[in-house]
Amino acid sequence: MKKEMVLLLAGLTINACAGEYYYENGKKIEVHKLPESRVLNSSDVTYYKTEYGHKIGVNNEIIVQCKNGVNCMKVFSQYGLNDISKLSAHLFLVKVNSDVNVFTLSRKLYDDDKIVLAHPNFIKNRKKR
Amino acid sequence: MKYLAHYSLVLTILLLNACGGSSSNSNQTPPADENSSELLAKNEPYYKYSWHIDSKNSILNSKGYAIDANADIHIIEAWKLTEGEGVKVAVIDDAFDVNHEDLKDNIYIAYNVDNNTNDVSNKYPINNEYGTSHGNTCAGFIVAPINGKGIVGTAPKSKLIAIKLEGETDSIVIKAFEYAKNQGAQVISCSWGTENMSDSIDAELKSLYDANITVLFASGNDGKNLDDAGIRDESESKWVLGVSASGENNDVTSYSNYGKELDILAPGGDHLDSIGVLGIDDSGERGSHNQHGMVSEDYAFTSGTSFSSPIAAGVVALMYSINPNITPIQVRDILIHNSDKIGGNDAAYIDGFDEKRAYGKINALKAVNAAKALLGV
Repeated sequence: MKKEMVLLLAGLTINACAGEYYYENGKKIEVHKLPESRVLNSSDVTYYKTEYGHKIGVNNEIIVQCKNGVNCMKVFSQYGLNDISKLSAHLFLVKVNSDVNVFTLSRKLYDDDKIVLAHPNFIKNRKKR
Repeated sequence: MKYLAHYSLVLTILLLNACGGSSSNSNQTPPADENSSELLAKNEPYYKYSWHIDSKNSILNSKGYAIDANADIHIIEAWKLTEGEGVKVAVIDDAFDVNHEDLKDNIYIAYNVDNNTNDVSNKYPINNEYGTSHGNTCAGFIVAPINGKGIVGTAPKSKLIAIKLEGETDSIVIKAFEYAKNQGAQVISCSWGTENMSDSIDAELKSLYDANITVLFASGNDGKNLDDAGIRDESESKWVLGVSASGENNDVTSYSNYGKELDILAPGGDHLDSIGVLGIDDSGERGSHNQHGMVSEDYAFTSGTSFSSPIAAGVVALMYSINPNITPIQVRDILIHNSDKIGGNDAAYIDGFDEKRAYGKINALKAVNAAKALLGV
């Protein structure tokens, strides 16, 4: 079991600059890394541009919502995730090691039939109107 | 009983005179059938410039600005039913001046999501691009009280939950919404957007909707079709009211974003060839520059869908005030079926919806009456 966990985490390790994607509103969104980064709240932020031109930042966090009736903490433990905080009645913030690829892990969680949504804790520019 | 009412009125007038309440205005004693809060509102110093409140009595036409007599939203008639008593409205925005004369008396609580304090003031230099208190202006359009100073908001007896948010992660936005909910907000107004809403934000908006909280979002000022590929704006969420701006000419403004998921128009003012709407100063205590020689530096003329959202939020607050059990779906249904179908020859409402004007301009009187009718009393 430990060996499987190590392999899983190794597979999730950041190694790609392009060709990442995530799921939003049921659709695959491709992103490409931008050659810039900065530090926000002591967490490294990496910036990407989506296929639609939106700039997004990611750190080492993922937001997850489980299906109703599912014990989300049990699901997280199956993935070896233990740094969890509750954002709302249904949403959880999952913190992972900085060497974990949050896009890959988000997709794995998204594909789990006990999970409704999973995506990196995006950093997005809010425009005043 | 009739006589008792008569003597009560006489006694009230005598007391007002004794306290100096009517001072030198004895020759302006209102007709008995007029609503007192309406009259008090009309005594606000800048009421005469607030065409979104009362376009018929605006004096801006005499100053060279063309204000259509029907550009307002029938709010003063709605105040005969309620002025927003008992409702808490949250504004999530960049900064607030909690000491502003036209805001301080209606603040329920102020909270800074980024550092968990009550300091919601602006920390940036005035010339910095962030050196304004956008939230200040937005909040004033909702809760500025009838206090003999400045302007009046659309729900002048509602209370404000002022939430300062600068962080840009999805998680901190969710935290802001959760704070509003936990403080008892029934209405939340957001005058910002990303055009790239995350699934978690949409899920949070649904949870607020399920909790009977009506959330409004400004649609944006780029004259853009939000139905274009790749745009997924917060104002388009199924769980919110998307608000675009009408102008002084009583039509949609050219800068308003549009799309089939938007809901309603509310005054936002035209920034091209007119003056805009008058709000409390967007730079907080430090003064801005859009006074046009008419108002003090604590106030400013401005424009944008940013201000349409809170103006509409005030109307929604009136609906919650008259009917505390109203649901977001009822609020939307009432608003879109009781709107004014404004626009010229190019307007083409099909099943009540026009591509550029959504379901038309909000009508506060009809909306509050319809909310009241749901009570069945």
